[in-house]
Amino acid sequence: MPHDADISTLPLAVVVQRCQEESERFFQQAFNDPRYCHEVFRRAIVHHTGNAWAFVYRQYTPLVVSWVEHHASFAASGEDSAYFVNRAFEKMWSALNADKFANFPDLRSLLRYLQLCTASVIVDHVRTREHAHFAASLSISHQDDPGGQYGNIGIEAPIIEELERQQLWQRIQQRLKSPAEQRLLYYRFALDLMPREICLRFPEEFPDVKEVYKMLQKILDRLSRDAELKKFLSQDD
Amino acid sequence: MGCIRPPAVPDEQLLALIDGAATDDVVAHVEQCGACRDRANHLARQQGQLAVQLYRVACPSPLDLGEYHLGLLSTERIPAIAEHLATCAPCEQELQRLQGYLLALAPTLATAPAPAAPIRESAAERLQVFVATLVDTLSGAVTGGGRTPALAGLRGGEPEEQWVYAVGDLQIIIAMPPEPKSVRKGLFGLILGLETDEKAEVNVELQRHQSDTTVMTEGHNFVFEHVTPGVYTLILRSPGQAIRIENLTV
Repeated sequence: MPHDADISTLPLAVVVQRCQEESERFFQQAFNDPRYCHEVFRRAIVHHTGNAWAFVYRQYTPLVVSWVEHHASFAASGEDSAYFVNRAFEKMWSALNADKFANFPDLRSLLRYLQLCTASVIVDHVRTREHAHFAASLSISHQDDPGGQYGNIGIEAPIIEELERQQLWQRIQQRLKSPAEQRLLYYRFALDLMPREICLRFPEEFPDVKEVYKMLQKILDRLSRDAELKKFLSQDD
Repeated sequence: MGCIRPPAVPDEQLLALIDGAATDDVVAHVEQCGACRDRANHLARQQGQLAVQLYRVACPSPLDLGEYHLGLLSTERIPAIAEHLATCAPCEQELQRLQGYLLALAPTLATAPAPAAPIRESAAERLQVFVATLVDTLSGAVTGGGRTPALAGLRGGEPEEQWVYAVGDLQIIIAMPPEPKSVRKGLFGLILGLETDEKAEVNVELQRHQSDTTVMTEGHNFVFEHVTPGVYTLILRSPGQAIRIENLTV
């Protein structure tokens, strides 16, 4: 059996062919040498060898398809498996570099990471859909408010892009005056906890629901007077 | 338009009203007062905008959660994610599902069976290492016509499912009661069959797979609290030997 150093000097075509052969053995449950396939990944990720990456994509697509189809959220996603397969490979490609590759000493660890990327892209998709449903439910629940007094508030602002959301979050945090205010805003809006739930879950920090409402009011008041934040908070102003 | 019966309802009470938590007085007032109702609507809109834009804004990405689980995150990022997981139920659930998913897919990565290698601790330790095997699963803590000894932390509580592992003359009983309002669990254990003088010398380690997380306790009746869902190895050490319970899924 060749040493790893020997494999790294073999031409890509030879390594690719051996990877295919060893993969066949793998699927036949026979003893196989996974180092050739690991080497193809290494050349793809560490050396950015385009042909190596193209081979990785071709070789492992059927496996990734099966992983996508195995995921509990796939059936309800409304997407076909090819969509997630492409996203999974992209995710792995963008997440790994030469430094990080050192964390993957064998083929098994690389494929497990590809499984993680597969799950991640599906969960990304689920989060986006849940966020949209959450926004829609806010509008609907207010419209359904009996009598419509504090309702029909028409939250129709589109969810802003993730980068802009992060910037907004940073900006808001800078306007808060204490760690307690930061935590309250985080619990109330990032975790979507109602003030009463906040008191129940964090009684030492927030023992009194009236105080929570007072603090919340001060925060809203301050944020609504902030020129930069006004566009996010005061549709009607 | 001004409040029909000044002073106007304070904003913090209107916020409570929006959440359905206002007093009857406030509800009655706002029903009749257009100005206070408008103010409540304005506040509801403000809150709604924040809720829409900030929903899960601080959550780590699914990939970060996965890298955390696989022990691939840089050391400096681990505390922030662990702290976040302690408060964020959706992320805890996502992590739990991810663990289950990766566990279910693990066989697809299995290579041809390798010859079983003897389990060995570090060479310096020269320990005898045994692997305990699951011999029974008990519902309601009843076995062999009698109750098993109650585990620490479970005494007086509801019967919990328990797992009985055995190695030689020793039995290790494990229970994992859920913690209220959390996906975390307690992990309670009892070692039966130890000699009296051995009982004080047992150290127990709980190691999370694919991470450096290890917590320790001691005694033949051991408790780990706030255990994050995952796959663990439990190691019971006494002088000269170690017993491992592999693939313990919390």
